[in-house]
Parts: sequence; structure tokens; C-alpha cells
Amino acid sequence: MDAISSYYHSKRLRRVAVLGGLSALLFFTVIIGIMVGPVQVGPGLIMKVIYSRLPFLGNDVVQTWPQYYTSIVIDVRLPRVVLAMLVGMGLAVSGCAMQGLFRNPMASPYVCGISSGGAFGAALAVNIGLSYYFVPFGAFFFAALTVFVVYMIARVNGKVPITTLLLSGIAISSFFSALVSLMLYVSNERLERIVFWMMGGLWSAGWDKVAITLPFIVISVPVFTYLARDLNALLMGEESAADLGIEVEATKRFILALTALTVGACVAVSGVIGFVGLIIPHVTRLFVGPDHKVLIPASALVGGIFLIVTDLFARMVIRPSELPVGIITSLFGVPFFLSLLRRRRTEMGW
Amino acid sequence: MELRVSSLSFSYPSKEVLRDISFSAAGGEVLGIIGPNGSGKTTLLRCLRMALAPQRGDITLNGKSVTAWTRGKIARFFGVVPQSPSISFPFSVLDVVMMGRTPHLRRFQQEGHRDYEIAREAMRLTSVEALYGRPVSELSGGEVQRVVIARALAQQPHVLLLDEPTSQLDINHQMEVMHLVRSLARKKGIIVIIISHDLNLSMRYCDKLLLLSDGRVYEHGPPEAVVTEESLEKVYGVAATVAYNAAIRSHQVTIRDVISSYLEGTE
Repeated sequence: MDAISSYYHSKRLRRVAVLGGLSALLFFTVIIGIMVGPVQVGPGLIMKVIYSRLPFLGNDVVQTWPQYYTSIVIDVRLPRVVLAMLVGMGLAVSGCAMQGLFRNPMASPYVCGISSGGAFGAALAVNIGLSYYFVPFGAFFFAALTVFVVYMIARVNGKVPITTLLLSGIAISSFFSALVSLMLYVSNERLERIVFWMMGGLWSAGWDKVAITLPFIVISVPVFTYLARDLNALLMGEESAADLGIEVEATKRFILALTALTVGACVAVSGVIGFVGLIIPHVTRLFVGPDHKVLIPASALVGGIFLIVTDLFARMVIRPSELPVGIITSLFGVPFFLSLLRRRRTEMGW
Repeated sequence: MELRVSSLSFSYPSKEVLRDISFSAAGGEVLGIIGPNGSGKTTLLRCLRMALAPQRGDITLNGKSVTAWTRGKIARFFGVVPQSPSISFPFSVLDVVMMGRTPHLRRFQQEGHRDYEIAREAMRLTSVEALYGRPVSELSGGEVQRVVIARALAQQPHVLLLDEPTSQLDINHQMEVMHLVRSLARKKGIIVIIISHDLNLSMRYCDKLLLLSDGRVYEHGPPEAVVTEESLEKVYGVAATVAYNAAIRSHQVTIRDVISSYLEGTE
């Protein structure tokens, strides 16, 4: 076996090692996320409680712990940690795909007005007095609708140039932001709910929210990973990608639609959590390189880990109250990212 | 293998770029496309691979029209080396060459050992094997050019299209690239179509030349029949001497002067 051949094979091994390592890290983060809180729960007990709730397997487990541990783990912390993981994954993986598609380091899951569209949907739902359960659907619907509108506006002769898409996204985004401000201005007593939603937080986490987000993440992470080859080709430029056999416009449409649905599902349950989708793909890229075959799943895992950890801070910093996690992600994420950026900028390739 | 282009025309909404282009090329042959700036060379190369859809005319490969093919199918037959490719992302050389296998892989298919072997062969042919693990973003222009040629070869194309592959290169690398594509045409029996600004290199390395002037074929045939003192005057507006150089066994052009009446005409 010569040098090139062993390089080729070691690359594949490294991919497995990176993803395996990150998965293990994610698992530990989930356990820690459940452990920490006003009442500490040991890792052994967590495993037992979860195991006892598994279908079939858990039937013959004898409960040797007080019932309130079961409620803390199953009803409070597990759904919250799982929701943080799903939202982190969804935002990171969408940001990664957007940056690849736009070949632009500034792209985030919120380009094309997804966040402001979602914020408008949520504000509208709150303002017209819809019940709490409809707010996520309002957010989801308008997030997806905004992307569709932006795409249609940017379309010229059946093609959608990336710059036009970005510009019309920014324009529509400002438009919806203005509408949200208008709603905030007229919505006196409901103001608090809307503002909280816009700061991004996971305090209302529950299995109902997990159920909204889970299907989207379970679908989008593997699908984005399968699109890795197309995204890699797109990094060579649109014309080169077409010369490599990629149907560029169709791929663009598909990635955009998938992002809109994924981010819509995240925004719907957690509000607008900033910077995760922008920073996590960049940080991951610094460590695993530009190949989307590794970058997409690795970003998802890192995003999941990051949001669980930051949500832990959000819960613990000003106990017994808590901070919106969106504040923590930016406060801690940004300095960390900037220091990385300064040290390793040349390796990023933008 | 035969590529045949018949009465191909292409216009942008405001401007006609190509009119009634017809020519053919056979496997093992190097066809050079020459002509002044704005004569439609790059547009023609784009039309050949349907990156732009010509309004009229047909392009056939072995008698089959390519105009309705999917991008994937076109990419299995046409390999493209774009004008001054630049890859700013730190993919390794092997990664970039492996991307050439994209059109041959099904949606859920991973690259296999055979794809790897094909990529290695392409790297061997273009002498970039030693660079295998280097990030392409750190390579010199000439090295990137060869990596991109290797990527196109990994597509196992029947037609290799190159858009001024030598414009960014030193003279020694220019010769190398021209030499490489000609030997590829001979060895693999593929059709090589190459746009070049360098008349002397084109005359020396191409089997046939296609001289474009203002979107039309001015002349098509063996180099010494296409590049003549008369055609250079008519198309480029220069007074030139075309003479046989025994040392390299090829006709070569020496530009003596720019004919001022042509200059005034274009102002």
C-alpha cells in the first residue's frame, strides 16, 4: 500500500472516528444536561429511569427510586435536553448547507428572511389571540412562506442567481421585521410573550414540542448528508458543478426548501436563537475541513452539543429564574468564534 | 467517436453571439478554437456542453443529439476545464480529482475502489500524484490547472473541453499542458477541443483549427490552411508572416504590425 492509498483509506477512518467521537460526546452531554439542575440526578439513576420507560425492555424493571425522580428526568429535563439537541442540530446543519450553497461565510439558516418571517408568524398568532399551541404553527408557516416568496422574487428566466436571492432575502427580511415592530408597538399586554419568543429560549420545552421538531431533524440531517457531494461540487462554482453533472437550479430549490422546513421547525419551538447556525458550521469546518460528507453530520453533532451546554448555562446562571438561551449562545459563542477566526482565518477558505 | 455541430446559432436577448456554426471533430483529434476577443469562443464551448442552450442547430455525439440530455449524462461524456479555475476551499488534491467521479455515481452510492483507481490514473497522467494530500487552495496556478484537468479526466469523458487552459501559465507549463492534452487525445482516443489565444502553440499542437470571427466560422481545417497571412489580416487586423519552422516541424506566426485602418474601424 503506497502513500496515496493509505492517505485515502485513513481519510475514511478519520471520518468514522470524528463522527463516532462526536456522537459519544453528544451522549455524555445529554446525560450531563439531565443530571444538572436544582435537584441533582446521578447518571446511573438517569439510565435506569430512562430504561424503565422503554417499551418492552423496561416492563420488568422494579422502581427503587422516588417517583419525583421519574418526573424530573422524563417530564422535565429529558424533553428539554432533547429539544435543545434537535434545535441545535437543525440550525447547525441548515447553516452549513446555506453556507455551502451560497458559497458565502455570512450565510446562516436565517438568510432569506426565515427568522423574521417566523417571528412575524409567531407575533401574528399571539396578537390575534390564538392559543399558545398555535404559535409554533404560525411561526413555521410564515418562515416557510417567506423563503418561498423570496425565491419567487429572485427568479429570473428560470434561474435564481445567488446574489439576487441574498438581496431579496435581506429586503423581505427587513419588511417582516418592520411588521413585527408594528405588532410589538400595538400589542401592549402581549408584548412580553412576543419579545421572549424573539430572544429565543427553550423554557417551554416538552414532549409536544419535541414531537413537532423531531420528524424534521430526523429527515433533514441524513438528507443533507446525502447532498454532501452536490454541496462539494457547488463549492467549485455553479458552472463547474453543472459540468460535474449537478442540476444546479433543482438542487438549489431542494436545499432551500429543506432548510426552510428544518429551520421553520426549530424557530417554531424555540424562537430565534442566534449565531448557532452561523458559528457552529464555521468552527466545525476549522477542525474537519470543507468536505461536506464529514462537515454536515459533524456540524449537526456539534450544534446539538453546543445548544445543550448553552441551555444548561441558561438554566443555571440566574437560578431560580433563567435566561433566554439565545442570549447565552451569542454572549459565549461570539467571543469564542472571534478568537478562532483571528487565529485560523486562512484555513477557512472564504 | 464523432462530435458534429450543425448550423448552431446562439443569441442573448440583446445580441447574436454565434451564427450558423458547423464543424465536426473525431476521436484522437485536437481541435483548436481561435479568434479575437468577443468572437464567441467561450460561448461556443458553453453551447457544446449545453451550459447554454443554442436557439438553433444541433450537436450530436456519434449521431445522437445531446441537446436533450440531462446534466448528469452530459457530464459522463464531456469533461470541462474552465478558464483560470480557482478553488479557494482547502480540499485536498485527491478530493478534488475524486469529484470528477460525481456524474458516474448514483444518488446513494459511495465512491468505490474503482473510482479511486480512475482518479489515481488521472492524477498520474497529469503528474499531480505527488500533490495528493495538499490543499488545492495552496497550490500554484499551474498546479491547480493540472488538478482540474485530472478532475475532468476522472469523468472519463469522450470529449474534453478546455477554455484557455494556458493563459495563466508560464511558457514551460503552457507547453506541458498542450503536450499533455495531445497525448491524451492520442492515447485515449478522446476528442479534445481547446480554446487558445496563442496562435503558435495552437498551430503546433492542434490537428485542426476553427477560426471564429464575429460569431461565425471564418475558416476550419488544418492549422496551416486556417492561419494564413490573409486570414490574420482579415480577422485580427494584423500584418503577419506565417512560415514553416523546421526545428519544431510546424508553421509559426510572426506579427509584424497592426494595420491601422482596422484599428480605426474598431474604435
